[in-house]
Amino acid sequence: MSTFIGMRSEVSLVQWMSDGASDHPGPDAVRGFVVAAKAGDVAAFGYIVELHESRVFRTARAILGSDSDAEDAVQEVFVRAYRYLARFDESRELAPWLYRITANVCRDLAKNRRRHHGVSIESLHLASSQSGPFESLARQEQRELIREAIARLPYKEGAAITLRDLEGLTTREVAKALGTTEATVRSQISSARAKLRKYILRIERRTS
Amino acid sequence: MSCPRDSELALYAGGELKGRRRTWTDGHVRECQPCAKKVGEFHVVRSAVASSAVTIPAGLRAGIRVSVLDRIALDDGGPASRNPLLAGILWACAPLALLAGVAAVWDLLTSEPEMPPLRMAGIAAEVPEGALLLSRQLNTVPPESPGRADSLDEAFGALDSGELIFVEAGEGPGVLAQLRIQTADASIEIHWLID
Repeated sequence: MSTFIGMRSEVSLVQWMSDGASDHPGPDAVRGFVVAAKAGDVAAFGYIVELHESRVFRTARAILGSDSDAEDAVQEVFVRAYRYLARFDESRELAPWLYRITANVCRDLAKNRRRHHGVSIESLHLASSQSGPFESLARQEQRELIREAIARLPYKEGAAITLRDLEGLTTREVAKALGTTEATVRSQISSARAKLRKYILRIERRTS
Repeated sequence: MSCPRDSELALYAGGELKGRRRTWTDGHVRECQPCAKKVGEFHVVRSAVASSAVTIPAGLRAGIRVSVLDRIALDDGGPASRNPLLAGILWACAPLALLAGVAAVWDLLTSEPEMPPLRMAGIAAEVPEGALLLSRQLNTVPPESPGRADSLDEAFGALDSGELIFVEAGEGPGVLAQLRIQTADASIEIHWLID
């Protein structure tokens, strides 16, 4: 009779489901799934995908600017993660490693598709708005504009500000994810914020 | 006293300015209204970025997971098989594996009702209520004596709204089959071994 290497984590997953647990499991549990997945356990890896796909999608969506591109990115991130899982040290946290893969995948997608080349944040269409943006940025319309503006930033700036201000990583973590120095990240963040501020001010001038 | 550059104020607003430079900017911003206004605007920028997060749509979420597992299943090795020699051997065996896979799929599609016993080995994506019952039913026993369904009909008995999307074979010690069930709300994927 054949055996299936995924059975161990399958039992864990079923146990977790049977217990009615819905919270994110602790780092030890995640580590256990990483170990099982490294041994080729696809079910365990499926669980890892389930735990991390939201944040990977959120990050890719912010950098790339569309649901469909983000969907492609998420798939590619987890396929690459599975492929290179053997090189991952399970004593470390998984999320920073996934952020790094996400940044690389988004860079490749942005480069290959050349989506944003020649379209700068300055040339972005400004939607009409009835009130000043600094008073009403919480509104959906403004959120859409900001999303669009982030996606129009140069890739490195968009990735840096997404990881820092949207995902809440420290500058050191952002630097690791992007494979660069903290000083470079600070420069990219600063430049991105300056561009976004100018963009918002343009909206304000347009609407006042 | 000259004002700091905008780039420094942008970092100050985000807490990235450290040490003496931060202390000096603290004092300056308290006294300089234009700089305080700019810092306020950079705070707005940060909040705007933070609040621009897009949640993953539920339908997309299920689809992504299934697609990822599909692609992994079709991948040539897995996380522990990056050995070039092994990869070469796998590539050399690929045509045979493909033929075996096609034969197994054909067998799966044509051999009902003599469907081999099913043994649940994995679930992915959002699990609808009926499927959850099914998965628990098949998995509440330990792996040494796995739960079984005698036929696809029996397996689908618990899913009154399930629709079979595809069945395919993959690599593995036995024949690993994949079954995806799509319901109105979600999809599940079941992997099982045919002994």
